[in-house]
Amino acid sequence: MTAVAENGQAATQHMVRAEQIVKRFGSLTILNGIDLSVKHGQVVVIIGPSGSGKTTLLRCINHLEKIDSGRIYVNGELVGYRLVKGRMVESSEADIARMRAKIGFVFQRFNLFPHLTVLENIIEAPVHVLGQSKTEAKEYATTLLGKVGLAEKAHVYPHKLSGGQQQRVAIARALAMKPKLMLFDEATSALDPELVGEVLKVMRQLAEEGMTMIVVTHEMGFAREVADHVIFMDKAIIVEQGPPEQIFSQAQNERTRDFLGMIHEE
Amino acid sequence: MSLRQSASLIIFLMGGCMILSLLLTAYTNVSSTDKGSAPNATQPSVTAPQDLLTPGTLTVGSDTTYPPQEFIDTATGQATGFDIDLITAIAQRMGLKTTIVPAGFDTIIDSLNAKRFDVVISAVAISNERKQKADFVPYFNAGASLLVQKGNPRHITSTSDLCGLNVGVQKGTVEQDYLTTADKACKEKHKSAINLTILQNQTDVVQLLATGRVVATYQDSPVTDYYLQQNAGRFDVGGSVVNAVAEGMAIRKGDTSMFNAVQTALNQLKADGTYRKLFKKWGIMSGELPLNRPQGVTGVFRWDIFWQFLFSPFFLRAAWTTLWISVVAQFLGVVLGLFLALMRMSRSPMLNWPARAYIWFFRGSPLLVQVLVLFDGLPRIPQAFGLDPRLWQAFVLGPITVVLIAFSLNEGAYMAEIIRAGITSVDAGQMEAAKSLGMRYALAMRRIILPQAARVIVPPLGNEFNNMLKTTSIASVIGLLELTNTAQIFGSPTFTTFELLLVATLYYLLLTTVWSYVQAWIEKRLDPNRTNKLDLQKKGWTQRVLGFGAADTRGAGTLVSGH
Repeated sequence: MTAVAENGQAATQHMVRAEQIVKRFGSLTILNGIDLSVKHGQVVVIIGPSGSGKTTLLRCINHLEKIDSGRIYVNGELVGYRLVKGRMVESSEADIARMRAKIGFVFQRFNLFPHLTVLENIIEAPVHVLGQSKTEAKEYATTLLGKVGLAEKAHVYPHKLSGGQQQRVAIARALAMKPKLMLFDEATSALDPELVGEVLKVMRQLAEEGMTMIVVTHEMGFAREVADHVIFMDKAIIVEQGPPEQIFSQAQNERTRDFLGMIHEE
Repeated sequence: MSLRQSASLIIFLMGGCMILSLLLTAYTNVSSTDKGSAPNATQPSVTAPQDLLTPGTLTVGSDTTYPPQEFIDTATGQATGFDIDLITAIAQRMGLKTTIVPAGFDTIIDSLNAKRFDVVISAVAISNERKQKADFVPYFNAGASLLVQKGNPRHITSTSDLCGLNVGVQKGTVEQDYLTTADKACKEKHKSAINLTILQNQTDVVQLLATGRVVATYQDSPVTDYYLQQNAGRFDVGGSVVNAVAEGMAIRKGDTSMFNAVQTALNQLKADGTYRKLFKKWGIMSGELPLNRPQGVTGVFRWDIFWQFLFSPFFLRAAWTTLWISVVAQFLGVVLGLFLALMRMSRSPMLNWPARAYIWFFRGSPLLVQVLVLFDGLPRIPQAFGLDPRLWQAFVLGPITVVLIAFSLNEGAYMAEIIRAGITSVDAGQMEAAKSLGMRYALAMRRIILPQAARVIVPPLGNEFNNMLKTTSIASVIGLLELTNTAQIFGSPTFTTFELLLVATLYYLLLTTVWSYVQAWIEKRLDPNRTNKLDLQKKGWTQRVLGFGAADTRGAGTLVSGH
């Protein structure tokens, strides 16, 4: 996989580095000085109660949300802004789009394009953004569909698929852009319980292949097994972070322990 | 075929229709307004005036709904009448061909000054007011007289007898002014006011009398005589001819070469007896009527006229005009509406506010007014601002151009709101998903958002187009020969406007019915579920065409199941 190859080349450089991110909606502070770093090939899982700001943090990383202050770098490049005489100025639409094309994003509600078939969903951006030929894009899309176990669904419209199948198509659609980084925003929260497993399986496989991933999730089992690093967020700040065994077995902070306790009681 | 491909196909088909329509425009224009005159043996004896609109042709404006002076011959579709023969004879003296341009009477002098034609002959009575706007060559002496029911049951002998009564008159005539004066006199004497019905066509005015809606009509005396003779035993003249004034051919002020040429030619025609012969031919004040068909007001439905016109080239051409104007205006309206909708949804006030103002204006003012402003108002701008006279002609738009511009601009405002609603109906996650894949706004709009919005847009768009097909009738006010105007113009000489309006109605129904099938097909293609394919087949024609039966809820569903 591409991700593995690059991993070797630039192991010292961080894939994602965020410094003192502040994000407000009106008077409400959603992110209050977040620092984050993700190494190449690392799987970082962000957990925390709803409203803690974890989804917003993820959306800031590919500039679906603007930030009020701070800096985010992906692969060494400043995200969404450029510096003009020391001031942050929002990048051009084209630059933002170019940057996003390298970052895969998987939504809680899948957001497949309902007017396109599964295959058309996957090749849409490779053809119209990357300028690949249809043949080339279809070939790779078929490989990806095989990988997520949906090879036979290529010519079906999304509404004919189960939620789990739709989410696997959404992952394939993001992977078709050959991203260097994948962001998962509660990818299994909208699914019926029996469908969660099939999506997690695909995500786990991706992690094993060395993809750099930031995963916002409530699936603690997944976090424990797959994550290299776990971040616990609450009330707009990072409360505690560390390797999964440390967070799940010997959390230092009371809020972390309370949260994990509540999750286990469920 | 995928949904996307069908959307492209629809756009392609609409574009194709438009191009085809534009190609055929020239043909429609020429054939609907030209009155080609056969070359005459008469040698030119008068120097032709300079600066003709079309070299070699005298372009004449006339309201051809005023028999016997000017009307449409229902057999040939060409303008005819005393005035038409006279101006044709005058043009022949100048060695020119004649083109008759149909025009509305109340704006005919304005149109002359806007250089829509070289000269006007349309039974225009010379008044001081009109003399300020144009020069006149008098050719006909006419007064005003009253037409009343047979036996004059109300004993009407002058306009002073009309207080408190229902009276009909044609719009923009001197008789309308006389009646207004008479109405004031009634009030001064503390009598009831005259209850006026003012219509565009003289024939419709006389129809009012025939059906008893009014007790008298007031018009030029030759016209009174004509209708009296056409409808023997139905009407009488009330009182005598008053206010005898000359009718004149109107010529733009300062156009002396035209004025002299017309005056000289008319003098020659009077001298050699041609003028007198025309008087006889048209039976004006002579009792002779040359028209070869029994005509007149009758209570009987004229099936012969109905069948004669149902498949006539006049109506086929009018239906085509109605159709292609609708298609082009709707297409341009959709394109304009798309840009307005995107501007309106923009967060930038620079884009947002102009779009709001535009939609506010065009949805807030009547289309009829917009058409008249473009047709009559625009040509006044260069004069008002003292622009170079050579530029004036650029401000005089032809009827088809005016209609296409006004209808497109108006439709754009409505489509903007429909398209905006369609775009808003698409889940916000769709744009985010597109952006997260590196798509830019324009690409995401074109490939992701609009194809989905189309499903919500098409049903109201279908309504708009259905409306557009019928709204084209507004174009009749500026003389365009679409279905409604064709019915009125061809119906007025024979009092068969009703029969011909029925013909026009059948054509409208045909067009809207065909469209309802096209719309159903488009909606079916845009449906991602396609589960309604069966429903559509099961649904009876009554529901699709007449709109009754089970409610169609396809527009209301969510776009993605499983949400």
